[in-house]
Amino acid sequence: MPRSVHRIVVRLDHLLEARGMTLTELAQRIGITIANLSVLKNGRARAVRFSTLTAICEVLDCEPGDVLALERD
Amino acid sequence: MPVTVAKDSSAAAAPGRAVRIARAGLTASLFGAALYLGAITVDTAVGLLSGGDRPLGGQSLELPAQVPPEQLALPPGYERAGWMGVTATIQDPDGAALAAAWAVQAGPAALGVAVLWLLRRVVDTVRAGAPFEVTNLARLRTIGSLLLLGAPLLELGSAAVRSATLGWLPAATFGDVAAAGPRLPLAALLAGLGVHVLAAVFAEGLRLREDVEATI
Repeated sequence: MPRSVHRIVVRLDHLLEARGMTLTELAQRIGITIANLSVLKNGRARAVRFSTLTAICEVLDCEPGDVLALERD
Repeated sequence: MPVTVAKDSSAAAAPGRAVRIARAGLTASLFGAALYLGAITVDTAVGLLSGGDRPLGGQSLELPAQVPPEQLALPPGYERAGWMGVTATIQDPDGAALAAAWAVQAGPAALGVAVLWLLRRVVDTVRAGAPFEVTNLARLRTIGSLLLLGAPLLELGSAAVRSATLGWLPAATFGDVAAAGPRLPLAALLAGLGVHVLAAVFAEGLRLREDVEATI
């Protein structure tokens, strides 16, 4: 089965900068490791759980569409 | 909010017991096969050095052979199809005969040790809760190839050695005697195919595990 290729971009950098929050603080507040959050931020994740997305949106007070975007050609 | 996953304790306990039993069985079998391989090797080596007198085998050597059915004194109404397997005893075997007998016995034993060793390593990863590793893929494929290729080659080699040693068999006054011919190692071939299929399953498991680990 071929691995899926996606064009989803994770815009955590912009949101963290806008909220004045560090990646470490976000990781602590949503309850996942900094390593996993880095994987997500750097676009190396293959999927995101709804529970993780919910926690991120609650902490950063944003919508899922603010966190994820489709990179158009 | 941390995400927790409830574990099914009953499902976790059952595979654990089976895996422990399997590992114990594999360990015992591996020990037995290695002990057998070591014993026949030392026994043959001592025999070669002492002019044929082996501590375990003594001064005689047993080789498989076959006799035709017409040489069997069967009662009326009883018959046998095909040649019958017998064991021929060679008294005071020379070095060549000892080495040939060792080769016929050591080959399958060494194959067994290799397969059991690799299989035990796979079971160890299952016990550790991380079976879907690239190393296990390689181990399973190696086991499958050893069985698919090694077993038939060993059988052909053993048959060749038995044919070559036909002249060492004791003289038969009743008629023809032949060396035991090669037999198709069907069980090993089927097991080898099965293990290769299992390797394909593990490959998919590895892919799924990587997907899960990359899911945040």
